[in-house]
Amino acid sequence: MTLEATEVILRPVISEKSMDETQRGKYTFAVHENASKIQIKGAIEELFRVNVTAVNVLTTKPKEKRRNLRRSRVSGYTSPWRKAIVTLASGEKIEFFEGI
Amino acid sequence: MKVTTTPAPRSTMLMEVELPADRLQRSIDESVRQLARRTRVPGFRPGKIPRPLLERALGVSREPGGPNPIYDDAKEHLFEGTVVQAIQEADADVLSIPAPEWVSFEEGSGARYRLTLPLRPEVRLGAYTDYPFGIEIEEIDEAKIDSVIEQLRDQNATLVPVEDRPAHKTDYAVISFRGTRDGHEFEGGSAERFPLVIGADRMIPGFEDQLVGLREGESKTFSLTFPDDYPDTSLAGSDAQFHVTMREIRAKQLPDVDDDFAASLGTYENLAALREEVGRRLRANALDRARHAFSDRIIEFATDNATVELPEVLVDREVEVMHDELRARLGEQGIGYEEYLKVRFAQSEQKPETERIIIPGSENRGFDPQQAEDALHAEYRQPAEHRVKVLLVIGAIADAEGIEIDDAAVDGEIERARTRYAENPKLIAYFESARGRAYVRSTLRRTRTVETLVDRWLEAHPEVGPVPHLEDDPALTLSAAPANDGKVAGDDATSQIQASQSTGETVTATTQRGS
Repeated sequence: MTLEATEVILRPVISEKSMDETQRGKYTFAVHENASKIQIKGAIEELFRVNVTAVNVLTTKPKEKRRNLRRSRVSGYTSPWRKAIVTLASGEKIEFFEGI
Repeated sequence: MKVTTTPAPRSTMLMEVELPADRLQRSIDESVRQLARRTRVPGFRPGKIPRPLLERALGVSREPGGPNPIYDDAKEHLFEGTVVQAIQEADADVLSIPAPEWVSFEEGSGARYRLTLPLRPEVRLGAYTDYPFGIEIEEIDEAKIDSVIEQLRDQNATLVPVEDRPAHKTDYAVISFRGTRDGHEFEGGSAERFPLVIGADRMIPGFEDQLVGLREGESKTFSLTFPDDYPDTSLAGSDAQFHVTMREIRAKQLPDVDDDFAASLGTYENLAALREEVGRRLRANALDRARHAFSDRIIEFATDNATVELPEVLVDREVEVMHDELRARLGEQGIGYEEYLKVRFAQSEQKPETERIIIPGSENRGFDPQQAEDALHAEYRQPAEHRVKVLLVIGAIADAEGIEIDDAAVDGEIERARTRYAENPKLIAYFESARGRAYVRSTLRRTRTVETLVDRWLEAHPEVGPVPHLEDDPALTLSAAPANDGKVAGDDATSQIQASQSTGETVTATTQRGS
């Protein structure tokens, strides 16, 4: 599957945990659901001009959501999405996260 | 922290406070911690948000000088945390602390704020002894006693039914009347048994004149025109027909001035004893009045001679105090505050001199309470300024004379207040609090100051003789006389004489029910 770098990387994940991981050179992104590790590595290297040493990926599963609205029960699922944790060569940084 | 002060006009002081960078940084860090705890950002637990993210969540502007909630919070805390110490360093007697103006505020280099502080004004006393006037005591002659006796007669008059003559002015009448306009009755224009005093001008002009000459049971029809300034605009200026029936006529009959009359007023043996007693009370009242008038003149004299530069806040506060006093006074008299404002300000252009009202209900259009309150404050400004000045001047005289009030005197006064206001536990609690005690003490101190000045003058002028206060004369305590049934006024003679000289300010509202 051919994807442009901007199509592979959707957005950075900004949370307490992901911010913590940046200290150890690990950066977290939301990525295309069909992107492979190799595609992600290429996209990060292309977009941020860094060297990627490892890519770990996982898919957060859709989660059932229910809520009761005056007797009519509404149910559905949260959207599934794919998360990639990219490890950079030691000493390298992604400036984007620094500014935040 | 560096504090610089410059004196400013009207008893104020310009203070500039400079804060070092580390103090500023501590305050900003603390604000970041506080705000991070209160702000919720998805993905973070409260209090764990990094500062750059927090700034974005709070909408901190990237440009310097733009809105910055973190800095605002830090400024507030910095100001609160440093201003008291700064004032202590400046060693000034500050009346109130206004909001500061931030001259600079830069992370890493420090901050500076300045504010104009109102100071306790310095009173430069002028002459407050050697008055160019003396005490003026009213002479009590036979004519004045006569007029009091006349008043007592009037108060103890009886209303005697009149059947053998037509009504004339000053009669007490009961009438029924029906008012119509173009053949239709209008609201409030009719009554079955309506009591009135003929000639008291309580009705629209001409109405009472028409009653003169009517005998009991007789009826009369006449037409009248409502005055143009009548409060109910739907009736003002229009013609109306009135059909009136005289129900009852009573005339006031004054008792004869003799020993019996004297005896009926209390325990007076004869007329001579009554006259003597009246004379004694009048003289005591005159002395009391003279003393008060003299005190007032001394206060005015001392105030006029002194120079005080009043800071605005003091006047503003006094205006508020006067406003509160007005509300309390209205409350005591049972008049609605809003209603009072309406009467005072909405109708100011066409104020009716007398209350000639048959029909209740008057509309007020275009009435703005805020505007009325502003007008009231503007009106109070001048007297407030004067009051503040008087208080300060008397305080300064007390300082100069070394007049102090000891705790025992304060306790005594509070004890008196406790019995006087026994039905008002809130007020008593106030008097017992530290603030209440301070208030009682300063009031006592002022009173004693003025009394000291008066006594000193009296000592230097022995020809005047003693001028005691009314309440200091034990022989003049109130004694209740038996109530007189069927009299016009059932008040006893003693309190009538007392009441005639009390000058409590009364507030009258011109909204009165007529039917």
